[in-house]
Order: sequence, then C-alpha cells, then structure tokens
Amino acid sequence: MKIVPVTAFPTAARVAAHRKMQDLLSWEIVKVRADEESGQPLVLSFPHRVLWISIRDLREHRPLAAAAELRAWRFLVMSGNRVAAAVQAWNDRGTWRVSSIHTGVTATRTVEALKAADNRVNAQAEPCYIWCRAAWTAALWLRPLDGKAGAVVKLPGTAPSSEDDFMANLRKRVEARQPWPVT
Amino acid sequence: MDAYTHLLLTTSPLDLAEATGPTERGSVGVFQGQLQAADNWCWAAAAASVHATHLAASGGQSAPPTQCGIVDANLVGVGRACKDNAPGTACATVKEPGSRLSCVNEEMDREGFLHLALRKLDLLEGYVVLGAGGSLSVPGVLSATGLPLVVSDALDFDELVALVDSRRMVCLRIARGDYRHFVIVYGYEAFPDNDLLIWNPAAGPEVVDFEGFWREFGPFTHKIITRPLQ
Repeated sequence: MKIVPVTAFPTAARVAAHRKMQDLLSWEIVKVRADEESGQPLVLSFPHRVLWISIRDLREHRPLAAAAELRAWRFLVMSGNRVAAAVQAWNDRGTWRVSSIHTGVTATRTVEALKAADNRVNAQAEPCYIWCRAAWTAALWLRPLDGKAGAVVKLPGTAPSSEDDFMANLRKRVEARQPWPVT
Repeated sequence: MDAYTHLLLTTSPLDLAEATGPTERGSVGVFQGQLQAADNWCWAAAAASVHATHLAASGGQSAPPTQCGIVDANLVGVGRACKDNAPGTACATVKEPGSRLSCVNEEMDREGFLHLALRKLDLLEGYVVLGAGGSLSVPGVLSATGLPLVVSDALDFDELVALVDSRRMVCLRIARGDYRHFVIVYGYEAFPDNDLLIWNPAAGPEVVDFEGFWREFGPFTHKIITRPLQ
C-alpha cells in the first residue's frame, strides 16, 4: 500500500471539526446524511493537510513541494465507502475553528482522485489537499515521503498529472487572465 | 474506499440524535444551484441558479434558461455559446458535477457580467461596490445596471442575514489577482457561529465561517442582490 495514513495531526482540529459537523447534521438544507440504504453511520476520518499555493509562488516558478504552505487540516465525513462532506479547520490565533464544510464535488470526489493518484505514484506518499485561490483550483496531491515523484489530481477529476505539469497548468491559467474593467 | 480502509483508522462517529442544539438558521428555501458548464461560466451558472430558484419558488412550469442561453443573450455578436442549445439536449443542463458541456463553443468560454445577466432576467434588485471605506449612496449617479450606485465598506454578516431572511440571494464577486469568481449566499447560521451557506458554481454547496470567508475566498469586490423570492 503506497498511501500512508496521517496519524500526527492536531487533535484539537478534529475536535473542532467534529463539534461543527455534529451541529450541522440537524440542518436539513446542508444535506449531510448517513447512507440510509446501507445503514452506514457517519464518521469523521481521514485527516490530511490543506496546503495553499499563492500567485507569487506561481509567478516565481516555485516547484509544488517548495510552494505548498500548510494552512489548515481537512477531514472527510464518511458513510461507509461514500464521502458525504469534507471539513476544514484552521488555527485562528491559538483556537481551532472550522473554516468551511464542503458537500459538493471537491469533497465527494476525493476517493476517486485518491485512486487515480495512487495508480501514478510508485512510492509511499501522504495525501494532501491543495488549494490555489489565485486559480480557484482544488486538487489532491500524493506527496512522496522519500523525495520521489508524486502525483496530483485536480478536484473534481480522475486525471493524474505530475507535480511540474500541475504547477505549469496553474501558472498558465493565472497568466491567461486579463485585467478586468472596474464595474 | 475498500482499498484504503487503513486510512480510516482514526475515526470519530457522528450522531444525528445528538445534533439538535440551539440554533439561529435561515435560508431562502429550496435552492436550485447549477454547476458551471465551462471554466469561465461561473457568472452564467450563477444567473441560471438564481433564475431556477425563482421559478421553483413561484411554482413556475417553464424551464429555466440554460447557461448556453444566458451566454448567448449576454455575449452578443461573438458567436453561439453552444453547438446545440435545444431544450432537452445534453447542452441544456450540466448533469455531471464538475464536468463541462461537450458542446461548448471554446471561443465562447468567456467571462461575463452577472449583474447585467440578472437585469436581463429582471431578477436584479441591488448592486453594491464593496471595500470603498464607508457606506454611501451616490445621489443621481447610476451604476452600469441603471440602479442607484451604492458603495459600501465591506461585507456585513447581519446585513446578509437580513437579506436572506427577506428571501433575497446575494451574489458575491471575488477578485484575486486577475482571477474573478462568483458565489451565491442563500443561507446562514447565526449561532453558535456566524456561518454562511453558499453555492459555489465551481464546486457546489459549502458552509463557510464568515470570518474565515474572506481569508479563504476573498477579497470581494461587489455584492449583487437579487429580487426576493415569491
């Protein structure tokens, strides 16, 4: 098995994520529900790092490993094999707070992306969530633990790319934008 | 996930029975969100979502406009948005989240003005420029929408709550570097935290902490307020 579970994570982040999800379960419109057919309960699991890439990193052509900056932790809400939501928690001046809960495709497609990336890497790797605000792009990165090549899958999606190709595509997307008139 | 159960060793069960706590929540009602059908069509998806929500709230029987139709109506003189835009075709809706329509004319995968698209649909009520260091209305000056120009300091959570309670959706324009995007606020939770329920045309529904919202999504440049649902 190439993907290594993350065991060293801030437990306070998980506590904050758990409390928030527990609270939101009663909000009908959010639609995070256990799998009624299979009877699988909801569990909060799969902790992984949330790494940000800045527009400056792209413009300075930094490689992914050097550019990625830890900004938060992400947990999946699972119902059996199904991802029902993803919760992100960040450290706000010493207090862990939930910043966002995703119930859309960037959450529910995480497992497919994981499988696709797993087929690409040949080394032990840690799953990480990548967010590039400048290009409005989320991705799953299998970060190799031994310095070998990792793989990135844009979310939602199942097409793995190399770290360099991923960064090049982000850069291309950002540079393709033209200034917009003030409205 | 079967092959990855080793990744789920650290689990924390969630219990719906324990989920009821004191809350202050609200939403505009059933929201009909659409995912964007092309990379640059967040504005068209947002307009289609607002229109579809209005139709659903009013019990209307007519089909909401497609993103292809909205692009055609707003990016005039350039070309057709989609190769086949007939209702009921694969071009009419995006059924698979995250996938773009195969019939999009690549040359028409362009940015557009959401407020103008909403005005054409008669769904625009307010247009506010954010971040000008104060809140003021400019007498006699009309914005590009034809509505009075309003300049406001920043996003205010209580104001967003009041707008949602009055069944208005609020579209927020985000600008980061040269990147622009729209999200739609259609619900909130005011206790125990200040959270917003948003529709992100690129990803679907999200609950975001209001204070962290700016950090993760900002900065916001415009606030576009829709007409209230019936």
